[in-house]
Amino acid sequence: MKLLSMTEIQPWWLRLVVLLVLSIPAFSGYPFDQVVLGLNEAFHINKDDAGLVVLAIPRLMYMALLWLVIFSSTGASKFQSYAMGATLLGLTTVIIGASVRKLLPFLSGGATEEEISLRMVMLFLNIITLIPFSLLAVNSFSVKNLLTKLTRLEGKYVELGFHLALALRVVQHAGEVVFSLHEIWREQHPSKFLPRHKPDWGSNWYSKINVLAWICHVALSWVHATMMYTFEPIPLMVSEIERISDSRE
Amino acid sequence: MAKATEQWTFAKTGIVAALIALAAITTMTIRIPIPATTGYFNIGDVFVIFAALWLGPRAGFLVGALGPTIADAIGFPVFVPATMITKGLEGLIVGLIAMNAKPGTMWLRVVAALTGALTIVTGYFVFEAFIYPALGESIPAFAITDIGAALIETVPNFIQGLIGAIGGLALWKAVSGYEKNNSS
Repeated sequence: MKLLSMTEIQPWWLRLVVLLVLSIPAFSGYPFDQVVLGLNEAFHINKDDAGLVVLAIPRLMYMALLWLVIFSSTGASKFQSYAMGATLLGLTTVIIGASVRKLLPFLSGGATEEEISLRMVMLFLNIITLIPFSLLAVNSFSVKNLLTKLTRLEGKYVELGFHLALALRVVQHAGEVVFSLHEIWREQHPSKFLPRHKPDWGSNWYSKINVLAWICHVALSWVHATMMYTFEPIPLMVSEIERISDSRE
Repeated sequence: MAKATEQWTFAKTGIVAALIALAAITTMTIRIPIPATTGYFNIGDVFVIFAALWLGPRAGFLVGALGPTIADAIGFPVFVPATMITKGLEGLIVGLIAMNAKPGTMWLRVVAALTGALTIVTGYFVFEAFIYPALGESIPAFAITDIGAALIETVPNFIQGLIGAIGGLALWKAVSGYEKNNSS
């Protein structure tokens, strides 16, 4: 069920403005610092003593706002898929980041465990907020409508418009491929999702510690599948745009 | 193989857009944060180098300047200028060197890919050691690195560049073999 679809915001430039305004905190940091200062004053916390919870509150509020926008625009099913994919990516990234701090301390550049923990929590919140939002942003613009408008226009930039329409369609498709792959692998290839589903899991003493080989295999399979499914429909998309572009001339 | 002087077709736009998306996706999905600089190690360069070797300098520049930059915008926005310029240059330089290679030959393409890897190391070092600290004096968001942190990051950046070069060459070899088989 969609409550308010982003595509219903008309004209298209107003939609773009709404998306840009929503993305301002992610890129500028405003008003995160102001919220933290307000919380510090309200609860009489010294600025230097502001803990993880206080620093995370504005980002959690921002995440809640964007998730609400995404949920109301895409519906529960797609939102679930976006949130699951983003959480998986976010968790993988920050767990690896924390492990790097432990295994290769020289890469931490003298930062304390607390500082790195804080960075990783903020990074996780950023990832789970912005990946679903960027997918929403890319899918908020209809290639079909753009092509319809382009066929009515004349001038030297119309050709460029067709190229941009094709690029947008390909990027929208690539985004859908990645998140569909997560679901397909979870349902149909669980051994590529969790090592404990491997057929040889527990069959010999080294099968459980041979996770590195599994990670390499899964990473390669994932890159291979993503490439294959991303490139698959491109000839069809190209011939469609070529046909529409030629029909104008 | 395509040359920079060839006409830009819809097919090329489709492939370049797919490579931009793949560079962004692989940069986002397989990333290892480096606490010293708040940057991260990734394998997105595979597609930047592949695009430059396969489609030439213009495509290499577009994939390098846009794909990894989109990924940086999600989680590491402060690195957007450094990535856009460094990786854009990486794709451009690899493409410019590789376009002089004879069809099917490997060695000049290996030189091109390795030059791309060195471009990453040099580019990020210049940004993290000199440009960001200088910008950080007026814009606090950029005050995240210094020459020491930049030196630390040359090691993972070199490994990242090397993986990008090997992966990019492997993909180019696969595609050029496929094109050769289908044209004969």
